[in-house]
Amino acid sequence: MFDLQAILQGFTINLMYIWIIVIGVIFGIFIGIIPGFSTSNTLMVLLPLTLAMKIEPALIFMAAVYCGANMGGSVPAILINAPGEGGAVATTIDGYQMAVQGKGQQALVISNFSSAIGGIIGCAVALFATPSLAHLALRFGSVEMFVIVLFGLVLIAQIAANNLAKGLLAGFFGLLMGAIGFDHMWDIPRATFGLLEFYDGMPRIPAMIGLFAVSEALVMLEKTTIATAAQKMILGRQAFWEGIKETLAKWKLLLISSLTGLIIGAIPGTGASIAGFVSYQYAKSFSKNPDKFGKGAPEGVLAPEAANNSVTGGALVPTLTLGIPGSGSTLVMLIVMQAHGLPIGPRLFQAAPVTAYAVIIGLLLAHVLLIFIGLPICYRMAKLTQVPTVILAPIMMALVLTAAFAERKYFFDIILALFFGLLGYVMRKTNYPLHSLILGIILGPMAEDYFVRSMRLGSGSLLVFFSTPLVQVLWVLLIIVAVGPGLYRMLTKNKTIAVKG
Amino acid sequence: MNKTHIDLGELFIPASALLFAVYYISTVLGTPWEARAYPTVLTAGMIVCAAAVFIGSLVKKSEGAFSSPSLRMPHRKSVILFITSCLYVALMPVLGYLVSSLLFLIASLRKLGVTDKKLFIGLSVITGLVMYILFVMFMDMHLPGGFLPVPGEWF
Repeated sequence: MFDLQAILQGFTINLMYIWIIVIGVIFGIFIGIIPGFSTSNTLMVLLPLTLAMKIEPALIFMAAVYCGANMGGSVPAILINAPGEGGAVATTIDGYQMAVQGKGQQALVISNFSSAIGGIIGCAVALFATPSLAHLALRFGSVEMFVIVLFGLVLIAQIAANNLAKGLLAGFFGLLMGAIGFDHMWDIPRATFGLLEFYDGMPRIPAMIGLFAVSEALVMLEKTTIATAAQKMILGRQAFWEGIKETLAKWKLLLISSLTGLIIGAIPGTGASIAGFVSYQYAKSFSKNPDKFGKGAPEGVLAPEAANNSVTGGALVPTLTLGIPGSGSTLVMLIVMQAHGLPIGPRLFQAAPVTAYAVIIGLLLAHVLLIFIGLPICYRMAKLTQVPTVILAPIMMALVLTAAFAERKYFFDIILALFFGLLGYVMRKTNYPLHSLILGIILGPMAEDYFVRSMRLGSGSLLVFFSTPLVQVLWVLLIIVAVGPGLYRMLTKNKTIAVKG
Repeated sequence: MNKTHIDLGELFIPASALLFAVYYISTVLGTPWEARAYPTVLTAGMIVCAAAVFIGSLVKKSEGAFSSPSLRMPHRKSVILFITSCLYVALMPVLGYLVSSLLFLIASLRKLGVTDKKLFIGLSVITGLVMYILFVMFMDMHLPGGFLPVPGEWF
């Protein structure tokens, strides 16, 4: 049961520190906008500051940065087809197409507004349903988690590729790349090419920067500007109100995407990228015009953005109730909580309920403020699509190659980003989805961990992946997602031929 | 008469993926089954998908047996940017981050067709400064100094 008195006290604390939320959201948006600057790394850099603060303002500030960065990641995803954060990968599909059609500002308004509403819904539900959600999250073991990773890959292969085989191939390739590095269990380096820089595994940030930003800089030069000259740029009030109307008109999709994000966020380790793709596929499957998806459908921006911001609320559930971080950013929050002497895990809500609720309310207020802070920023940035590509591409290249250095501070990562840029360019030209490859790289280490643990549970038998009722349900869903759309297309095609005949 | 035509461009990624998988498996040979199971399962999945892509790439065309229509010669400007970027990365440890960034921006803007001197020099200097403030001063990143140390690291 939730504690109403603690919730009210948490709310009062947040009102006292509202200025901290404003600073955190602005800071977070800019962190999210720059590809390569991950929220968790930034929060880690800010540890000396947050450790010196009181526990409540420190956690509220971190929650605000987390919220701002999740939204900020969609800005480069929409304008230059380079996601600032992993959660914004799904947004690139339709967001960038809208920008190409001169609707960049409208896409940014939809992204901002749906992110804010998604986050508010996610936090509001998390505030009252935290204990039940934590119980649900505990039902997912390593077997279920491995099937969820596969589910995510199949979804992306269906969404981002016209060809399921190409999408899955890119996904498997990504999973294998994500599993390179030193195997501490058996003491062997795996596929490291003899390079020490690969011993810690495949670095995600240079891979993401290379695949999306570097290859985009190369491809964009084939056009004069990002927004094609034939399309009239929709700017100003018209774009603003169209974006707001579009978002509010799809309130059902907004609600479902937010709840999807919340549930996926509550499962430790799944993250915003899977939530974005699950919501995208839901939006496409139940749309009256599924053919518009991938060609600039506003719902293709709305659904993943609502879901990936709702994930922030969901990620707090296992963090606060079980002491299991739901994401990299919440892991840093746990470190701060531990450093301040708070009990981690189920005892937190008994020992410090006000602090626990203050974090969730802080995140909720950050999403409310996101509407007022994020919209003016988005408003101005859309004009980037009108800058000639001969100016934009070299500047973008210099910025992103330097950003590739940010995570590990290895010069090698800049070279790696350039290599992935070339790979991304070839993949774009041969119609292989970059989204599948990057999701594979992001989920690779986690997938391997779940796979090996499950295999040990099953004493080496693959049948373990069909052993529980929950995992059987997940397999059925996976098969429906993999085969369903193709079957549907075939049936409707036959029907059309029959009618024409 | 129609001949079977193979799109080699489409097969580039499956071939690279399979080569990588073979290399990966070669590095885990002789280890316990737990270490080999995951790459083996993924490689099996890749082989099935690659076979499906290969069958899909067999398209009917009137002439020619092997070609690569999906991988045509890249756009001239894309090639220029890629070459200047490679030079930028190669020269960064020698010239240092600041000098190489300025040179890269000036050279690529100029080569991509920006003819206004004030514009390409001004843009390069402003971008260089913004990058310096953002990465060196604000994010405290220790970028390669080259023969000239990066100013932020003098202190």
